[in-house]
Amino acid sequence: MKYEAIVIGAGHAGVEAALALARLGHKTLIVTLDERSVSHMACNPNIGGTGKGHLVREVDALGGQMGLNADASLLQIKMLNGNKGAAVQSLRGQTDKEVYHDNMLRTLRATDNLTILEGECEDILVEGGSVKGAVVKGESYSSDVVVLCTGVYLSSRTITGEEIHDAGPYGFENSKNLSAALLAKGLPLRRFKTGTPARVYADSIDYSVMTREDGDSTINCFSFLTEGKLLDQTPCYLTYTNAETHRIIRENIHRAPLYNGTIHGVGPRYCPSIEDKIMRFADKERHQIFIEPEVRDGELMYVQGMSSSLPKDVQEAMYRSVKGLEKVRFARYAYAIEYDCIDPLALKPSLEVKAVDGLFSAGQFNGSSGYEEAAAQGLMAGINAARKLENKSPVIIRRDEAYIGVLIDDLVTKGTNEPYRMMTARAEYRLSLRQDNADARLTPLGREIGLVDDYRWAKFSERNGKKDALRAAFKTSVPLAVVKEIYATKGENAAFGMTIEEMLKRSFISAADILPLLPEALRDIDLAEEVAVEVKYGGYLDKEKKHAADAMKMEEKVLPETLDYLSMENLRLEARQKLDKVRPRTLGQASRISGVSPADIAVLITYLVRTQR
Amino acid sequence: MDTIAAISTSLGAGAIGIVRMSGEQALSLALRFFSSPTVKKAEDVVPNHLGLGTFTSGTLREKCMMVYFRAPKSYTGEDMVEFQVHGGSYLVTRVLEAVLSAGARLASPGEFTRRAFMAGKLSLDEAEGIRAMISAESDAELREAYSLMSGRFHDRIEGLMQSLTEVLSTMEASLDYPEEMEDEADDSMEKAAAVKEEMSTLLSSYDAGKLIKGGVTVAILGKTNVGKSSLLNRLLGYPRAIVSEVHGTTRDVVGESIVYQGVKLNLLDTAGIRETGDEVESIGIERSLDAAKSADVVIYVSEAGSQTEDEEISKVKDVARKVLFVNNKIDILGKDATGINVSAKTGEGVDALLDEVLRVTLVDSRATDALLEERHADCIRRSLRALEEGIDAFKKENTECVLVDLRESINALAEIGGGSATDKIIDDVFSRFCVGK
Repeated sequence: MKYEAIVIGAGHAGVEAALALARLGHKTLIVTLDERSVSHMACNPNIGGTGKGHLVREVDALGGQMGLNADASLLQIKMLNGNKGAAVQSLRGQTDKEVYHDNMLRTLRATDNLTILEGECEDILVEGGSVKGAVVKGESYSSDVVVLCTGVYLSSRTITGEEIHDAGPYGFENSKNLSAALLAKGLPLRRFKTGTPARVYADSIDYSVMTREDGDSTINCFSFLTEGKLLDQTPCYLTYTNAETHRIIRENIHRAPLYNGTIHGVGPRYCPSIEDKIMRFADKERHQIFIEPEVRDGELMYVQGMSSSLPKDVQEAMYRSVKGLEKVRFARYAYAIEYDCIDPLALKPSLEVKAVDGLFSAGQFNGSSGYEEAAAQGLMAGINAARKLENKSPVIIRRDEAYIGVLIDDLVTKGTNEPYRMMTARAEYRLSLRQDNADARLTPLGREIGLVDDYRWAKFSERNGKKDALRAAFKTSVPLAVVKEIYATKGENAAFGMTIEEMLKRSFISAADILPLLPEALRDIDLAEEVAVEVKYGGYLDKEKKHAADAMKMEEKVLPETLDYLSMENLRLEARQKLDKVRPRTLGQASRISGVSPADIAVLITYLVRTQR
Repeated sequence: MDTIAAISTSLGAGAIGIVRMSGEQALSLALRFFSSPTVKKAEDVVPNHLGLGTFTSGTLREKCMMVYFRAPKSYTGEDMVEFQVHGGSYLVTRVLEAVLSAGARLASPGEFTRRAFMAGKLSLDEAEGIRAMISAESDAELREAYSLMSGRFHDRIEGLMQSLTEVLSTMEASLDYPEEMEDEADDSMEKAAAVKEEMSTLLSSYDAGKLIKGGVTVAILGKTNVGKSSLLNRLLGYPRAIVSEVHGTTRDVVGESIVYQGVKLNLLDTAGIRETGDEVESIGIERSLDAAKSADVVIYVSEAGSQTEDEEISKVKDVARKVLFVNNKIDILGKDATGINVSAKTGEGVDALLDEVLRVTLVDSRATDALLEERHADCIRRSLRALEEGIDAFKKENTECVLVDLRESINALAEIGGGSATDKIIDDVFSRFCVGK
């Protein structure tokens, strides 16, 4: 059967890739082992978080699905770092896993040009270095591009103490044959590990001894298209481990697969199992545990912070040592999972596999972790696969444009030795890369690509127009008497009349304070806050812009794909090898590779000048 | 693009030294220091013409040639200015320091060439020449790396970076894991303040480092006829200055250099200080005080056993940075209880005096750590500036701006040793804090 594109896997990366391809008009097949695992949230029941919330908004701004889908299944929403500055605020939403899955499956089914196929993909068809299709359940399907989004399913096994299963997450079937086929095609695969805590019955928990954690009904949702706020929110609960919990773990540590050598895969540092936390931070007296709902009014709860691969009897003992969990009953035990994935240094910044023309990949297969990281890559891989079909140059988002740019550039330039998680600390231009302005940064690009429909474009233009009007209104002068009046409410005194903008530069003046000074039509507190941020960060934003402009010059110098780095004698050996492995697309990318010095870059520059003449 | 500057001739040898600037601010920076009868403002400067004028910065006032290349017709394609001054490392370095302190940034290795390339200005022939230059640069880097690694300097920079990384990773961890860092104590700003102190110390040791390269200036002061010129001649090992019994023999400052313990000492003999009606002599005394002012250390000579008047001491102490009190003529007058006892005539105590000169000028300012290159000083200066802004932003509770400043501060330091700040910070977050679920 003939398709233009085939997407392998229908997790958070796969669905974005498939939707992007189909929406851009390409006949697309999406292959999943089991329809029930479409957009399955195999671990925590939430979307967003620090850095990750930015990714969701960026995916949305470009015309992706994650934000809309999350909003439709929200149980609670919170602005993390809400008491700090705008640049470090991130949205996090608790979501109903079943609704999230149902909605996405419905969206896939309702999308033109998109066909869902259940079954195991066993091989990728490659001819003369170019991808030609895929084999599913013994049958060949032809296509010009293929996007690999296999998540944690490739030759995976789950581990709970001595119990080891040849299976995917949550008891789903895994992919048994594709790993060997990809290895045979020369793809550099390796083994990573991650884990998840137990799911327990909601009615076996004593919430009365825990701290209730509520959401915030005054904030916006993920998508720029979602109107209104989430009023009906479901709470989470906070409790802690204690000395008894730690004693149980320590006494049984020899039975932990992570410590007795059963597990070989590399796990993420930011997602440690509880046994890891206890062993590495022995002096910490307690660790937080959040009890989060899996579905609305459902029977299961997720026990965040208690990820483990200890045997079942130990899990029962340690969970039940926690306040409020004394009588807890297990629905599913915690487990660790090992899986195959690719070394992302084998990828181009377009997420195309260097060794196979037309083969793209995204998500956990690329060595990342997290639903949001997966969705962001899935969207970009889908977009670039579509552009490959259309003979257009790939869309590469820069580090100063979006967290998506940081994520992909980090993966394909620096590589990663553990499942990669987005963190705000990774973004060097984070004052500019705020979650509130994701649309201003990316929606015009999404429009150009073709994923931003008229409705989104109209909404964006209206919002943008209002922001421009606000910027203009901020230049209005305010008479001294009025300034004095507002200052007085803050216990400050004013000596001069000034513009609204000048007032906002004072740390004690907020957008809410100046709202009454604005024309009636512009009194939108959300927008006013966003524009006020630009004023408050003023000089710092300029600083970032200047750094970005400098970096840009280096990004504009494209390195020929055919450069023979190994024979460049003036380069130090380490630099030669690193450059040969990464094969950077631009001089800027080359300069970010660890082990490549400024002197090496100078040598490269000279080489370029010589050969380009 | 910011404006960069560097010395483009080799330091030390050579009759002429060139300091080069490139960037938007090149001309306006240049004209803060350069003036000539025909050049008073930017419009007066004719591009591609070499003009003679004066370079003035603080006490520095030197004849200087300046040439301006207007963008895009320059090596880098940007506005460029070159200063040509008399050779010798001291002068060229002072000119560079002046433009750096006015806002130019020290060019990193190969940066002029990189800019030229970015502007599409390099031809094949030029590229050939630059290849040689690059390899020369890496040789220099190797030498530098060797000498730095053998010293404690590298460790100190590493130590500073580690402290800053800890400050930053604490803040980053609490931002990336807002719900999990509640119990962590935060002494970040105390740590940042300590780093700031240490950087200032390092920079002042840079001045000591300069002393090693440019030499230590030692002025010999004292009343008339206490044997200053005899002491100079003794230090030099030959009779350079005229010595006589007549009070006020030395009328002008006499300068000569010696090398002691590998350090160049620029010795200045001065006119003796006394009330005088002689106009020439009184001008000489003025100059003595000027010499004391410019010297790194003053040797104040008096006759052993004589009472040094308080007024005299305070007059010298007012103008001098450091003063060593020396009792001369101990061969005939005997030793004093305080001060350094020497005999210019027999040479007794002279080495002890020179040791003391080195001790007060170099050791006290930690010159053992101070083998600083201008490039390093520039990095530390920028790092310090960013850190100060960060501490300021912290006081205003702009956490995310503090992060921007601290990162800039670390990155400036990282330029000395290389390595990515971001990776270090993230590693530090996970090794120090139990975060993540």
